[in-house]
Formats: sequence, structure tokens, C-alpha cells
Amino acid sequence: MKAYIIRTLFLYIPVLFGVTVLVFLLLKVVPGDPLSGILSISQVNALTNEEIAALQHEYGLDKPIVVQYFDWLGKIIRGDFGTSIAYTGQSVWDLISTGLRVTVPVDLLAIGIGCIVGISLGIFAALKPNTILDWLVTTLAIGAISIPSYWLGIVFIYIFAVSLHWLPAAGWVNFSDSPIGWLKSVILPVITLALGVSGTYMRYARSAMLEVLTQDYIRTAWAKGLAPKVVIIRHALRNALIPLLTIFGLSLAYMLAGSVLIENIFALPGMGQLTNRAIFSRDFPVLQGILLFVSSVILLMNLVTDVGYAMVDPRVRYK
Amino acid sequence: MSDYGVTITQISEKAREKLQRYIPHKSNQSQTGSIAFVRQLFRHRLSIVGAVIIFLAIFMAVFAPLISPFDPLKIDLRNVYAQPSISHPLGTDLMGRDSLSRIFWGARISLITGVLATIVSATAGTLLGLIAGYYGGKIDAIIMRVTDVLMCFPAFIFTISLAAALGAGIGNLILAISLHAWTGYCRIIRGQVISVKNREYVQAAKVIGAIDYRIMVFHVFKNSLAPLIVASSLSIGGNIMTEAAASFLGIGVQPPTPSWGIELRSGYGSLLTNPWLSMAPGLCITLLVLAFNFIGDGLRDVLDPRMRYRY
Repeated sequence: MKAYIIRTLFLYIPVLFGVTVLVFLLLKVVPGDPLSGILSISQVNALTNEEIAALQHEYGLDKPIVVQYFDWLGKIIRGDFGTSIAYTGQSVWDLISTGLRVTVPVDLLAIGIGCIVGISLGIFAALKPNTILDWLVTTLAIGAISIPSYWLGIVFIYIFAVSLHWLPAAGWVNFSDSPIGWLKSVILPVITLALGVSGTYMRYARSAMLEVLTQDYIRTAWAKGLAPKVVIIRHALRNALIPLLTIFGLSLAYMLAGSVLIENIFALPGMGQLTNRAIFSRDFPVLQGILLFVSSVILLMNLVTDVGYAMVDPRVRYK
Repeated sequence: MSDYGVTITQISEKAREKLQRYIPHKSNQSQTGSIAFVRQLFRHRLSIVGAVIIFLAIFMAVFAPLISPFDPLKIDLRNVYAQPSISHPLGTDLMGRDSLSRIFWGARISLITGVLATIVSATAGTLLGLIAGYYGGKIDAIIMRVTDVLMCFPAFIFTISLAAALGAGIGNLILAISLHAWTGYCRIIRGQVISVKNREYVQAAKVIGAIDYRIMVFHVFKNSLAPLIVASSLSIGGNIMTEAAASFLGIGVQPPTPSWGIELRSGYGSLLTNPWLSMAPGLCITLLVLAFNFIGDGLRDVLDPRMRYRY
């Protein structure tokens, strides 16, 4: 097991390196002056040529690109993600960690609800394949993944906020200020996100369960006369859940991407809104920080998944 | 009946009748090629629904200039936020432009982006996947590490960041989508290539003296078409969704060009008074994406019977 973890870790190092290169290059493909990665366009336009040259020298932009990359990487390793252009002087890391405090609880709630609903419906569908229930679940799942989340959010706002006045349309209340106000402000975003998540889990849970039910050991379990409950829960379900581990990392990526749109609709001041603003104000240091953070999280989740997989399924370790 | 001829003629008529019930109908089974394919696809009811929706969308897109009651760009400031009426079935938007006409024209952007981005990414992914899988070794390692790196980024965040860096516009958006989306095709094709490249028929082709290009195209690629087609049809829907979302955020297609994402954004501003301005374009996006997903599922069932009970 230890050997497996070390081997997997070594596989991830070049990928992490590649991620930093790509994030660095993203800033370099920006058309226009290299300073636009540090100052806003209006600031750059106000400068004289000598001032631009001086600033380029100060920020090391006149050095070869490889040197620039390693300078940048060195700062990142020391935890210096740079400062924002749009929010003058604020450090990128502070902005990200403030955003995370809003986004993470919402995303975790949505993943939790989506997983429970999706997996249970998917498994019910798999237990009765080709029935009306199965058909309903499969269609519902395609529907859930086809609806644009932001539009669904707008529909929910129209129904529950505009027409019924049950919930606020948008806005954010800190949990420490008012737990009930917080719950009211996250309930619609959580449901909207959870629906998308549940659609994915329904499909995967159904297929994983159907796959497992055809295995020899399930037939053996039936043949030796075990109760249906035991066969389904202890023999089938536990094995069907293993492949679902792999999509857990995927759903995390989905959540962070979904937050960009959902937080825009519901005006939540989280990572998604930060991404949005960074894109709009061409705040590339913030955007770089976000991309680096998100991809590192995904990489870490993949690593955890790989190791978790090897722990629950010993066959993987020897491949 | 020739396959069963010998045994069947030796038994009585009655037994033969009975047996025939268990023997698959020749007319259904032996049909090969496109007819059987279409017939099977149409047995999948949701695919028909999908095909009808896609047909309607294509019709809207192609004949937008003819069926639109108004010019989608014509501003009429004396008639802003008009309620639905006979002349404006979906009312007018904040600049007095006819909403229905803008939705008809918006179908063009959605379909063009969805299809073009799929063609570009599928072509690039297939080529790289073929090369990686067939040659293996260092080339394979390099290509696969690149896909590993790209797959660390959520597709949507990567796409909008890149689109923002490249600048707004439909061309840059298609490029940004494709630069991430090729990885999926690359992995599918590479996996297929590796699974078939040591089969007897590929070895036989090599022995005959076929060149690499010929083996890759006629023996390896042709046998990898099924998953490629399924992935493409699903990804057209995904790309349409990305375009709409990016345009909704203001990164994709730029106003005044009519796009469903832009309509949804501007309609959201008047949700209280004119909810249909945001409901209609959202419904259009949903239906079109749903249609491509239905077709994709149907294609998977037909093309890959092993997958029938999966997903």
C-alpha cells in the first residue's frame, strides 16, 4: 500500500508542474502589452514609453520567459500569489480564501443532497430495469443534466421569490450574523446545484449497480439463499459504490464551474463571483490564482480517489 | 432459412412452425448498414423526440430571415418591454427589439458554435489519439501528460478564462472550447486504438504490407467510430450549453448579435415585469441540449449494445 501511494505521488508531480506552466502561459497569451497582466488597460495607456520600460524592468518582464516562469513559480511556492489589479492592493490569496468561505458550504451541501438523491434513485432504477420507474429516473437524469443551472436558478427565483415570496431573490447573509437568514439565502442555490449533481449520480449509480448485479458473486449470493436485502445491500450496493468514488472528484469540478454561474444569479460573494469579476476586469493575477487553486484541488481529489480506490479494491494496487 | 435448412426440413411441419417462433426474423436481423441503423434508432423513442427538436432548431436557424417577423437588430425605443401581442408573440426587449425574431436568429449561434467546436475538437482529439495509441512510446507519453494537465481544469472555468484572455467573439470561444474538449476524444480514441492494434486483422494488414496511414484509417479508426459518434453528439449539447453560459456571462458572443445566452441575460433584468423574456431563451437552450443528449443516448444504445444497460 505504501509503495502504491508513493508510486502514485510520483505520477502526479509532472502533472502539477504542467498545470503551473499552463496557468503561467495563460497570462502570456493575453493580447496586448505584457503589463496588462499587472496593471489595468487604462493605467497602461496613461504611461509614457520610459515609464513602461521601467515598470517592465521592475516586474522582470524584460527577462526571458523561462526565467520569468521560475521567478513566478518561486513566489507561488512561497505562498505569494500576487496582488489583485481590480481590488487594488488586496492579495490574491486573501480574496480566494474569503470567497471559499461562501462557496464551500454551499457546494458541500449541494454535493451531499445531490449524492443522496441521485444514488438512491439510480439504484432503485437499476433494481427494476426497463420498467416505468427506470424510464422515469433515466429521463429525469438526462433532464437534470440538460437544464442550464443558471436558467433553473432564474426559474426558481421567479417561482419562490417573485411569485410566492417565500425566499429572498438573491443576496448573501453571513452565517454568524443570522443562521436562518443564511439558510434562506443558500437554499435556492443549493437546490439548483444539487439537481445537476443528482442527475450525474443517478446515471452513474444506475450503470454501476446494473454492472454489479450481473456478477458471479451476486448469483452465488442468491443461490445460497440469502435474503434479498442482504444480497442487494451487502453484496451489490457496497461494490457498486466503488466506481462512484471516481466521479466524486468530477462532481467537485462541476460544482466549482457551476458556482461561476449560480453565484452570479444569486449574488453570492464566493469563488464563482470572484472568477467572474476577475474575468470581467481582466484581473489576471486573481484568475491565475483561482485556476491554480482549482486545478490543485482537483489534482488532490484525484490523488485521494486513486488511493481510496486502492484501499477498497486491492486489485488496483497490483496493476 | 438456409442456416437452419438441414435440421428444419427433417422435422415435421408442426415442429417447424413452433421452432420458427424462436428463430429470429431474417428480415429484421440480416439488414445491415444504414437502414437497420436508422430503424433501430427510431425504436428508441426519445431519439425521435430529440431528432424532431434538432430539426426544428435547424429550420429556425436556416430560415431565420424568412420566418422572423422583424429584424432582430431593429431598435424601436418607443416600444420597449412590450407585452406579448399578435405582432410581437414574445413581446419586445429593453431596446424594443422583437424577442421572437431574436430567438430564431439565436438558434444560428447555438448550432454553429455547438457543431463547429465539436468538429474542431473531435478532429484534433482523434488525430492525436490515433498517433498516441498507434505509435506509443514517447509521443504517447507526451500527449497523455498534456491531457492529464488539461483535465485538471474544470472545462467551463478553463474555457471562459481562455476566452477572456483571447478576447470576446464566437471564433475565440470556439477555439477556447476546443482547446479543452479535444482531450476527451483523444482518450477515447487512444483507448480504442490500443485495444485493437494487436488484433489479428491489424497484424494481417501489417503482414500484407499496408502502410501506417492505411492501417490507422481503415482498420483502427473505422473500428473506433462508434464511441466517437456517441461522444460527439453528446458534446454538441455540452458545447451549446457552454456557448450560452459564456454569452450569458458576457464573454462569448457580443451584443447586439442575438444569442440565447445574451437574451437570457437581458431578460433576467426584467424578470419581475416580463418573465417570458428570460423563460423563452432558457427553454430553447434546455430543449436543444436535451435533444442532443437524447440522440447521444439513443446512438449509444444502437451502436454499442454492450452499453445498453449502462448510463
